Amino acid sequence: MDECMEEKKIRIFYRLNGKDIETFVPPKKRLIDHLREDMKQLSAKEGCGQGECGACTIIMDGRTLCSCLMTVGQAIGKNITTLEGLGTKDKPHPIQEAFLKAGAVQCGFCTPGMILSVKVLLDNNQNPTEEEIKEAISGNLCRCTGYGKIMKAVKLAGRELYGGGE
Amino acid sequence: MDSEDMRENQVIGKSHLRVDGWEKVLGRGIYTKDLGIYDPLYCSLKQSEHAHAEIIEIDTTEARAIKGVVGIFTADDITGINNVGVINLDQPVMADDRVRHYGDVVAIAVAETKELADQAANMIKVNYKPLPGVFDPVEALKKDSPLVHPDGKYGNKGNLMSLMEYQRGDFQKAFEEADVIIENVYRPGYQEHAFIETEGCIALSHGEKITIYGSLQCPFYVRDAVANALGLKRSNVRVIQVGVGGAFGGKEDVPSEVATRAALASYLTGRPVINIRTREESISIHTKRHPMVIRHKIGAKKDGTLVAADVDIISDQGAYCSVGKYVQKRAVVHACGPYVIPNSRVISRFVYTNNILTGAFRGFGTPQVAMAVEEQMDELANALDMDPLTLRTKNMLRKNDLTPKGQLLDNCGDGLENCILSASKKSEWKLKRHDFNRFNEKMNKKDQSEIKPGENIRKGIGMSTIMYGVALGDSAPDMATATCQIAEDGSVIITTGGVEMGQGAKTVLSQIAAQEVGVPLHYVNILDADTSIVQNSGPSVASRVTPVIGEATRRAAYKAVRQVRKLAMEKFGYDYDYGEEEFEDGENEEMDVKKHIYPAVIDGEPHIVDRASGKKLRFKDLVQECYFNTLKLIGLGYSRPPTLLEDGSYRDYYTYSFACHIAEVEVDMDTGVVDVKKITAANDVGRALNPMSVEGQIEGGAVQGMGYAIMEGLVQDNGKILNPSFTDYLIPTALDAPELIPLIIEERDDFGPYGAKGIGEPSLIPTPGAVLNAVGHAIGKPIRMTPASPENVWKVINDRI
Repeated sequence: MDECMEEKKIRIFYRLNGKDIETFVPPKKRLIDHLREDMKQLSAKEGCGQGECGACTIIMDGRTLCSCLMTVGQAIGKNITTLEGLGTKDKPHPIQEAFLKAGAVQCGFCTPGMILSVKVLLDNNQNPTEEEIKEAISGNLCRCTGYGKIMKAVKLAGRELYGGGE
Repeated sequence: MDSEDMRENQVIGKSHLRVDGWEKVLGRGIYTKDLGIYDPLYCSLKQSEHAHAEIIEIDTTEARAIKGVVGIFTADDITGINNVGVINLDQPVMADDRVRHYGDVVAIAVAETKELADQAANMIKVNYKPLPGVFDPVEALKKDSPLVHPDGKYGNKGNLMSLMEYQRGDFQKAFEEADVIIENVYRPGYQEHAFIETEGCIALSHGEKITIYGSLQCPFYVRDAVANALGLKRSNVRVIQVGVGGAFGGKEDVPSEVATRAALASYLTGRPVINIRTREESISIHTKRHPMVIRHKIGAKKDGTLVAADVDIISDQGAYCSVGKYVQKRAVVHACGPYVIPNSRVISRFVYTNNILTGAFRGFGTPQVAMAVEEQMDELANALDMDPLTLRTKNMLRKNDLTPKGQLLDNCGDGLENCILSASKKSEWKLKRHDFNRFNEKMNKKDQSEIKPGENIRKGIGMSTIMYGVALGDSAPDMATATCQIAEDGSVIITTGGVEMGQGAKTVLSQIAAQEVGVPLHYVNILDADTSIVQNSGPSVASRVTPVIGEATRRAAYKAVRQVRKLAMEKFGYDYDYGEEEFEDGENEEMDVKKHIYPAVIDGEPHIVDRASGKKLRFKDLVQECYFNTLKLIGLGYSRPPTLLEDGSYRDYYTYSFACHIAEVEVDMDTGVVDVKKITAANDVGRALNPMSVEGQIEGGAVQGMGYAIMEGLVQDNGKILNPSFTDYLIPTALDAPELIPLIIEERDDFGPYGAKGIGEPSLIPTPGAVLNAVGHAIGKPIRMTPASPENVWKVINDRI
């Protein structure tokens, strides 16, 4: 029962936002807790802890995953991107800029996960259809916006990244 | 100098980007869990294991024995009053002698880690004597029903928490003279807020003082609740708002529970305490939208003129009052819709049960009654063979009409008419109604065996029109304060009691301050709401932030900049008679002064320009001169909407917002699946201070309303919520969201800043009625309940209900 107080740790190594990480963590630790507590990646939000809401979405080896459903061991050898790795105010990623310009942000709690899902979509599909966008962000719940302005932001970002469109 | 640059500074009315937008898109928005707190303790809840039971004994021995557990606290440890109820003092911080629903908290465990706290909470053993419960409000009103609050000390008569009614005109006689009478029973259900960030707060005690940081809508509610529960003076409790990840009414009085428990634990241990709910706790504990049973009767003449309404509302309050009585007031005032009806009676009973609590949720009792009255209007239109649009325009409220309850609309323009015209035109109502009728007739004639699965579709278009009383009305004190200070560099600091919860409060308040002071938007910093720096400004609810708190902000800003303007006037050589006193609302003085000078942003820097000569002075220089001359650069704004009339009586609400939503759906007749294709949403907002932000509210509200209409249903088994997760309680995803056409209607209001009214709630209220009317149009039968889930729709189609 008390083992979690003084649990033994395992060595993990992975890439986080382009930097190699090597650290020791308790094997049972959830990846979201490791990212938030140890790596200070506060953009990963916990909305449900059950993989339902998508607020804790991260990119791992080019795929979006819920970091609340993973343990630290599953990060070993992987390449992880959190929203902190995407852009800064001086050098924002076009998706971040598009979300702001399109009014796609309200409370902002779903925003980090949502933007990462859009990133993976646009990395793989330069000109997604309406349905493809909806599908790609359907794992990220937003209760504020009704999704309309998020859809606009995705299209705007797509045009910004790859040109074309309207 | 380019003349373009000399333009008067205009900040409001434009779609400025969110002032808190960058931090949010960069992932640097700070919410409760993100605060860096040194050496905190974590709190876990021991929830009731019964819907209704006496507590015989609470055994905490084993829980306490766990290493790392710092304390287990129960009702016995409460140092003040064991209550968090806002209206009735009926809701304990922790259950005392009995539990009245599954969401009651019996004890809290506080430990070095969340895991240990959870483990300890699980080890707390409670010995109960189960009591019979009551889970249906109609049953609860019967004579021999078990009583939730047997002593009746909250003004309740048995389980009847509150009876509210009014009567206007002779409704019985009017029904006798009516040509058509429509009477039906409607059952709008529960709705869960499903904010993506669950409730949470952090309490930091320091001796007899305590500071709370949290995700909340009503900092003053939390302050008062914590002070009461701990037995502290309100001056010693400071509540500061952090980033709020959605609220929608669900963080109105709920954070008082969260905060009192954390505060108590912090007070007793002397350590910071973090209390954040899991999703399961969130759904199974906090208040929901009130389900109602509404018997609705309307009478009309052959030409469609409404003559009478008689409405009977029964609602399940759950175990505690929460803000139920205020919700009830709204349901009563809005029960007959936005129509001229000279004779009406509304009677409403809100009833205690052992179910989940019900309370504040965007719309606050109005979406439920709007759904009923709007479906009634469609049935009346059918009975009279009239277009539902024609029936509505015939009866809608206009300026100087009386609301059904009898309030004179002398200050609300023709917002409703404009909403209806705009939405019906944009959605091509008449054409689509006609086309869908023909399509459905054709489909009905087809040989059913020839239709392939998935193609047995009917199409529908439905509308709903509403009014909504802005702000608190006569329910509760409805004032707000704000301060504005101008720093020596010309930048502006605003404090208000208003909360940013995603709706864009900080942006719109920044715009108001920037407009009034005459600086660019980025000069303004809106501080997070903090109970220690402004007077109690009431809650951030009831769509009152922009009109009421915004007006306080405008007044504060006018007063702060007054000496700067005065100095500029002197320097430009005007001999303007500034009185000693500043005016409460400064509009006239401003207008006088602005005849001579105006603010402009030139080369990115704020200036004051002389209209006559075109000469300009740097705002910053003027401010510094004021500072060195020890002049006042701070203003205190106070606002109170004109609810109180000269004769000492109160209006129900100082003004009303109006809306008309039109929904288009396709229904699969074999499966009952409803696909909402499009919603055209026209909302009268008085004036859109930030059009993009207003659109965001309309879109978000409409999709939340659509969720309520077709998919969101709470399942309870004798008071136990069976679906406390997003797997089982469904909210709309991007795939469910329809095409949304927001239309902004501006009928300026006299009170709100620059004519603005509220938009938060009127964005949601019409949608459920519009969607259900569209489904009714498609399948040819009304759906008088929510959600219109596949199962419920299928049952209606096949006459199984």
